[in-house]
Amino acid sequence: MAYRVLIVDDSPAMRSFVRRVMELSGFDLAVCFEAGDGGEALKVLNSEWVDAILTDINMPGMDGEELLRRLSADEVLRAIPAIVISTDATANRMDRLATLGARGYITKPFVPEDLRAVLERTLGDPNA
Amino acid sequence: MPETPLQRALRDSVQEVLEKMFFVEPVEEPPGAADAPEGEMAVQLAFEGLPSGALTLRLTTAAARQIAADFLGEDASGLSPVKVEEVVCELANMICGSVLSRVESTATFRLASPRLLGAEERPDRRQAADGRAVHAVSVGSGTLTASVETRDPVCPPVEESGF
Amino acid sequence: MDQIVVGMADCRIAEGGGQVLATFALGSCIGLAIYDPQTKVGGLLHFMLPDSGIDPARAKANPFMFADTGIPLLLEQVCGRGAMKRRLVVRAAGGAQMMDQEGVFEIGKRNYLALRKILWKSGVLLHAEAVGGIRSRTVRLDTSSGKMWLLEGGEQRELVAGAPRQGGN
Repeated sequence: MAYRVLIVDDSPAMRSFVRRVMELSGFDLAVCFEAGDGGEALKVLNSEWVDAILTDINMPGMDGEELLRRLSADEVLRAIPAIVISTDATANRMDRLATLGARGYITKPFVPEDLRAVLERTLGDPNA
Repeated sequence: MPETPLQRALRDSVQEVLEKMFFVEPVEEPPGAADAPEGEMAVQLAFEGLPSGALTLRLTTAAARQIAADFLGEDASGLSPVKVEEVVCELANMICGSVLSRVESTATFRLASPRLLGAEERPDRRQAADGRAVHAVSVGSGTLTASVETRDPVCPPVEESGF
Repeated sequence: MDQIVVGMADCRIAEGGGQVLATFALGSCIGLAIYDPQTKVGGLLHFMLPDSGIDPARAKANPFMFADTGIPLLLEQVCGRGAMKRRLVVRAAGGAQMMDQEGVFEIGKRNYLALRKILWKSGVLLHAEAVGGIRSRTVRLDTSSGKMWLLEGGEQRELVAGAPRQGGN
């Protein structure tokens, strides 16, 4: 299966890193959209379908939590699995994100293999 | 001076971030030893929460280039200065987030975007003090110094007590 | 089944199945096994030190001594015999904290970080690991089944592909 993915993070370096982990994990990326914050992400989703969203939380403009809130409020967009990649590991934040429908969560810093495990748990094993 | 909770959080965060995502084992150095004659870059980011404050990261140029290459999985010689800066900003972001997650277990914090300090902005080189933690490490190809300054006191993490 | 012994600072490749690659006494050294289940090509490297920069002449004489010269060569040799990088199952063992000749305890950890860095740069992720701790290990890669066997503390178990596992430090 060829995946269409959206990576949302205000750090271009982190977007590259996440993309590389996805590719090395065996996910065949047909398209990889990138957005610097939640607002840019919603603009992409206005016109493009994606199979998965990987998003940071702390971003200028619209943050990841607000993005998840908007996705979960939309009948169509709420079906897209969203994985959160964030430095914030506080219990408060994680509880809220689970309520907002995040299907996977990983805390920075992480080893690439741990992100692969989250991707496989959320999206399935691409090599199966 | 005994190690404060903030100092410990900074030390542990620098180690964890550098080992997990940059594949570097940091070796602690006394802060004064980190003032290198060659070029260096500095990044600063402010945070709001309990506590509020700012983190500053200084890296010698060679160290910045090498760790950026290692993070991106690319060759150091072909890396543009912009890409190096982007990686160093993300390094600062991750260290800061990790420190705050260790000292704040319940409150939510907010990180501003990291910004590169210009040559004319002199990074603060003061030593550790109350509300200020400094940690300097050798990363093989150069030196990295992280400092966190808070405006509010940092409480030690709550420990479980069994009655 | 033929057993091919991989010594310290050594690397062997097996193709066509029917062979076991084995390496012993992995203390601070790391044994890196890679295997393509489709072509049944496998390789096992036993490296001792992280960085060839400390002794380039020695690295030229024996690239398998160092992580940064040995790992790319292992990948090149395995892929040169028909393995494909994206199919490779990659497993590692070793990197324990042992006293070495200089009395330095940290070589194991530095070897492990070098392993991860070079795999990342080479475009490969680890599937399983048994690293750290204080005990010596022996590993065997069965190129018929692709299974990797780990002997540690007198107990043998299969090192399965799945969540990475770490020994205690």
